[in-house]
Amino acid sequence: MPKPNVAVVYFPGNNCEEETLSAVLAAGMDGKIVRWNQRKDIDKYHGYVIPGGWAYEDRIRAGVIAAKDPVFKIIKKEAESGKPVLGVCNGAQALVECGMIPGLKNQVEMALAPNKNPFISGYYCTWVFIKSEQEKNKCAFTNSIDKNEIIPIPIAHGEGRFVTRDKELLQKLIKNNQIIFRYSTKEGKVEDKFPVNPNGAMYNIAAICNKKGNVMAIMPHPERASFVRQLPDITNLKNMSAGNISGMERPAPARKMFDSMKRYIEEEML
Amino acid sequence: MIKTIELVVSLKMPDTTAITALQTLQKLGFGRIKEVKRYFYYKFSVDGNLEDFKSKISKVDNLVNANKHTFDFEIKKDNYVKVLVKNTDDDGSGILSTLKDRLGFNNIKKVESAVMWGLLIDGNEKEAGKIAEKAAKDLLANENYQEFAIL
Repeated sequence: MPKPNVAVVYFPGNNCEEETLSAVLAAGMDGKIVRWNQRKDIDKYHGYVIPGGWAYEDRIRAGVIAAKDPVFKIIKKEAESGKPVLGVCNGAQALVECGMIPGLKNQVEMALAPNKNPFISGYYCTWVFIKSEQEKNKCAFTNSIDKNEIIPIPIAHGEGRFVTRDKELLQKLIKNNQIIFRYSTKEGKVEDKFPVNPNGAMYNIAAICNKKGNVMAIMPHPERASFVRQLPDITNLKNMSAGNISGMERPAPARKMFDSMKRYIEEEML
Repeated sequence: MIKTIELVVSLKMPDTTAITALQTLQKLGFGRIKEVKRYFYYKFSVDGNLEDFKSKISKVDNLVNANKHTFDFEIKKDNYVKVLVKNTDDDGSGILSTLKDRLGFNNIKKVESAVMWGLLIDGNEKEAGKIAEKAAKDLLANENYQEFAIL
């Protein structure tokens, strides 16, 4: 069986493409950083990751210029055929701005609005915990993650607050099992208050997938929490590996999102 | 007596965000939009002497940095269709608290802020208004957390 081959689609201004590729490779997939204007043959990849950063300097709104780029027409078409697409942070903003998330109507149904934080306005960077809301196999990026599993993961954004003006949308997302991760305490308690909910997102949403489950927008950064060495001291995993170089290179819990992507491609695409 | 005053600020240098907006709109098929300008818009509710307030507020470099900004106290009437985009849940308390608590503007009662776009559109007033509205819906505003008005 060939290895899953994933394109990390880079837009001018992104800055997480290298670490995203590292996580893709560490999960046992092949991958390549593909520039936004290298559209020829981009449809040959088995899946796509839109990395974090500041595509087009966040001009007008975070993610909106990337979302209007012609490469997204190709990515949309490939996603419709079932290929997995993961948008991380700025990539998540682009997936929302192009309407792929939540993808119930052919229009922009949500926004990632400026954070609501009682102490800091604008950009906020910290470690948080997210809890898996769904059974395995609901989403291409969680088939290796148990329901209610808690994952330590960093956020780094100024506009990460999932909102919508559609009063019925949240209930539809819950009913469709499209809410994949919610911000929680270390023990898994979902509290709608700072710092547990670090940006004021509705329903503590950290990640949403489309109805089919093959496209996911996640505001926290799984690629920055894919190795034990990347974890902060708030987790026991790093302390347990202190002084042990090979232990530091072991996978951290967020790597499972990339492991899941690999498994999904192997089961569905190859 | 409370009076309101507008402050319209723009960059002296080429505005790369406005240039990107123009290029993106044209790629999206808005060929009749010929030029885009961007302004930072503030509306203050002030108690007291307006002339004194104008003189002081234009020197607050959080809002107007004389090295890179130019400003006016009204929206200029010209050939550009103005689109005002405002975050619906921004009550201006952040700017208000800076101006009152840190800079001593105790006579300000309320502040509204927004981004104002100026679109030069090839067409009559009615057509231009429709094109501006579509440009706002398609690119300049996300109505899930923003509202816009064509001025």
